[in-house]
Amino acid sequence: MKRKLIAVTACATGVAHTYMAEKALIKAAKELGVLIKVETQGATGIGNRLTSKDVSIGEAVIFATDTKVRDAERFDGKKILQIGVSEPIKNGKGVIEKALKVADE
Amino acid sequence: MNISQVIKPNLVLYDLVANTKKEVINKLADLYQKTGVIQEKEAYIISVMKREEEGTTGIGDGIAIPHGQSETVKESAVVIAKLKEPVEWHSLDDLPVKYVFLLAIPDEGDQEHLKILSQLAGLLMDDDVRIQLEKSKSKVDLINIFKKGVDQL
Repeated sequence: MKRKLIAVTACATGVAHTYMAEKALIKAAKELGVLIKVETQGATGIGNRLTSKDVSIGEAVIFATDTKVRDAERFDGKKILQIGVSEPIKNGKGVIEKALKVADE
Repeated sequence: MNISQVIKPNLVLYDLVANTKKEVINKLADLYQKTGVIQEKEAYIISVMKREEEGTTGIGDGIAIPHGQSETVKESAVVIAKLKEPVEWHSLDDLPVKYVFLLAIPDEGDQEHLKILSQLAGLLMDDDVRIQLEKSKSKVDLINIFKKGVDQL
C-alpha cells in the first residue's frame, strides 16, 4: 500500500513560494511513489483544503510555512514536520523522506 | 484569463545587461515605472529588497522570482528577463541566476490576476519549463514557453 502524507504550504506574500513548494512536494512524492495532498494557504485564499478525512488518512503533516498555519487546530494530535517554505523547493525528496520518518517514529 | 494574458511582450526582456542583483531589480523597476505598473520606483525597490532579506528568491537552475508588494503598485504584473550574463543571487542551489521573474503585487490586488501569477510561479517548478528556458534563444521563445505551459495546467 502506498504511503500517504498531507501538507500545508504558506509564505509571507502568499503569491509565489506557497505554490512552488506545493508543486515541489507533489513532484517529489510522485517520484517516491507516495500519495500526497497539499493545501495552499495563499493571498487568494485556501486551495485544496484538507478535509477531516484527509487529515485522518495522512500519516504525517508537513507544514512548509513561513507564516502561521490557518486553522492549525485541525491537525491537533497529528505527527508534524515543520519546515520553511523554501525547503521543498530546495530538496523535495529529502522533505518527503523526512516526513515518512516522522510518521514512523 | 490565463498566463499568456498576464505576460505582456513589452515586459519581456532578452539579454538584459546587468552585473548585480540590485542592478537587475533597478532596471526592471525602471521598466515598471515607464509602463505605469508602479508609481514610485524607490518604494517598490524597497519592498523587493525587503523580501530578499527574508530569504532568497533564487529557486535553483538559474531562476529567480523576486517580488515586491507595495501600495505603489497599481496593477499586478510580471516582468520576465533573461540576463546576458548570470548574476550572483545566493540561490537555494548556490548557482548564479540567468532568468528573472520579477512580480509586482499591489496591497489590494485583483484576486484573479494574483492567482495567475501563482500559477506562473508553480510552472517554474516544472522540469519541461526549465528545459525550455535553457533552450530559449529570443524574446519570442520566452513568451511561447508560457503559452504552451498554459495547456499543462
